[in-house]
Amino acid sequence: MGHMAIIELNEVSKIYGLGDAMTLALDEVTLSINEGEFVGVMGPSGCGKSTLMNMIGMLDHPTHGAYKFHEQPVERIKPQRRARIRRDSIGFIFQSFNLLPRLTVLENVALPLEYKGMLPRRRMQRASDMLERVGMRSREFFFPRQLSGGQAQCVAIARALVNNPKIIIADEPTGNLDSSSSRLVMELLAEIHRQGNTVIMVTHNPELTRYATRVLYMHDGQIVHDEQTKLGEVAPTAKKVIYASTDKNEDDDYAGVSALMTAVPGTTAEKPVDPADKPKPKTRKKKAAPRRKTTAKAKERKISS
Amino acid sequence: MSSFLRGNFRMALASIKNTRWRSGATMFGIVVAIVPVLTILGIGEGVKRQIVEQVRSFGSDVMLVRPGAAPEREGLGDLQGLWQQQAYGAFTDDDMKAVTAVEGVGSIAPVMVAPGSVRSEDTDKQIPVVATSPDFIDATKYKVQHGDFFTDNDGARRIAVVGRVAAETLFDGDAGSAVGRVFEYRGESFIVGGVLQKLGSPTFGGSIDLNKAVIISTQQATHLANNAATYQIIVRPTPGVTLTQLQPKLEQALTESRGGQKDYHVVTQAETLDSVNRILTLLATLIGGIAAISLLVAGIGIMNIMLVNVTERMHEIGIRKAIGATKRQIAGQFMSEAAVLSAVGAVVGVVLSYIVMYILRVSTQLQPVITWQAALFVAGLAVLIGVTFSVLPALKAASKDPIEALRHE
Repeated sequence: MGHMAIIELNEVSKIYGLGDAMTLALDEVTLSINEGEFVGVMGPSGCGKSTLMNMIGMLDHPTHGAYKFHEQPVERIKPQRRARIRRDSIGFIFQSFNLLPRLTVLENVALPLEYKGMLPRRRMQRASDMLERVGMRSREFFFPRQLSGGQAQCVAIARALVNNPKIIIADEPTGNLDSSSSRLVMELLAEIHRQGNTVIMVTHNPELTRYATRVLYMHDGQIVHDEQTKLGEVAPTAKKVIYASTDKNEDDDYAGVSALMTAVPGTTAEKPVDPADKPKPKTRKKKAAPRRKTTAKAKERKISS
Repeated sequence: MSSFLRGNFRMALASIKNTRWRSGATMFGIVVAIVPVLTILGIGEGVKRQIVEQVRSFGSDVMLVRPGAAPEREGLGDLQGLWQQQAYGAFTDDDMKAVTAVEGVGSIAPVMVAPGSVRSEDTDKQIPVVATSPDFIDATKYKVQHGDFFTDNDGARRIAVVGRVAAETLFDGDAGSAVGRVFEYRGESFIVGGVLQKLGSPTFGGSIDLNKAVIISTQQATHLANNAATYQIIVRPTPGVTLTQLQPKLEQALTESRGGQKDYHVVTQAETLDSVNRILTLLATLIGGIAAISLLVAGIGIMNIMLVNVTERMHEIGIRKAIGATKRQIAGQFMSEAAVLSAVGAVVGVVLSYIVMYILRVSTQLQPVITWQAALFVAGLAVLIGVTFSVLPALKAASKDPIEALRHE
């Protein structure tokens, strides 16, 4: 336990679309995550956070670069086994809960066990125990539409945990929740982390970096800052955002760049008035052409967001 | 795996319930495919049973000898034989003697058509006259309801036996009092000596329905009309002799008697059943073709619905894949849905077919019979087709990239 890298990304890129519609969602991201880390991922909308999560969770595959999961190259893992890894080793928590509307709460939670081939009685028992753990046992026979957002997310967490996965991937788990529900969900994630599991969580809320041991800041498909933080404290960079959020200027608003990015070291200086005309000062070794096109795209995206 | 299947089954039911109209339309397709197929099959089966019943009444221990060569057994042979028959000469007294002399022949009765018809005071209807020997009743095992059949001693007397319907026609609807009454044929009066019991399938009259005919002795027929001809000989072997033993001997004797010509043929129950079966097999092939086409159409319907279903539930597929469903499990889910859909359709179709069968039985002369084997077979075929046609949509669902499926709303 501790310092073994279970997730290793080496210059991973992801390109969506073709020609004019080409978008560079991940731009040569190199990242390694150790067992037992609680990684917070922050960044403006459309910066590639979700793509990174999907990549790590083997829902998506890189266009370029290599991804090793437990030191095994993912591109060589057959789809069947990838599905089994998602089932047994990775728990997904989505912003929109993604519960199956036609199944009851209990059946939703038991679904990963069903895919594992567990007998109905045992899997219902196990799902019920898991619901107990997230405080949702009394809602076992409800349908997802009968739940509040917080309750639905608790059920989704129960479903993610029911197979005892070592890695939890949470894509803005509190994005649709009020503050008290958020707190409940975060306490659950913190507990999972305390038990030695790895948690990777995307969030927009700097306050939530209190729960993380490490925070990544992303911008335009790149990880622009990576810092270790202390549990219980808001990450230093994220903290700046909280206190600096009032100094945002109109340009920032126009460009859609959140105050967070202003606070991230290294991104403030290069924030141009019109990013499309000015090439980024970063050094690039290859794939210059698609990159330029996607910069323009990125700008459009920022405006729209 | 079984728990997985059970889960799939339950999910499939839920899914069908949620898309009532669409699922209903698909099931309707299967029902529409099954009902006509089962109904036609049922009618075919009913006809078969009726024919077999008739052939059975013929008896397995009796044979008919008719003029004309045996019909060809290929192509339209049967049909040609039907009108070729007319070209051959009737049997003569010598032929009768030759057949009677064959060892193993028990009862033998010629069937002769006497030209002209009968008249009575009560009717103007034409009633055909058939002539035979007193052995007729023994050879055919027919029953006389009132009175007696004429005997050898009656040969010179004008005594007749009438069919049940003919008796009613001749004597004002009263068959019971017909015995002893008189009718006229070719200017001579005949006394009714007996009335035959009503015959279910009067096979031995050949082209004449014995229920509606008058039977007189061959002596009287040849005496009154010299052109009366024997067009059929009924032969029953002595007890202990089988038809297969008797037939070659009989044929040898008859061929000899007819100058070495085999211008006649022998009809037995086995042979008749054989040709009936050939016709029914032809019918079954026809029904099979119709069934195949309608089930194919239903299958395409299922495929379309499943394709729509897969597209509509892409997000769900994405979620399922994200939490660890394999390709096979996703494909299995959609295929079990199709199986449930077609199974429900099949059950409804079979039930409806039985209702249609009942209506046909009550309101028409058809006596359709749907055997449980036929119902099971057609229903099974429908399910098989449903599952087969869902393979493509299921594979489409299974092979979808998880992230693309998840993004689909």
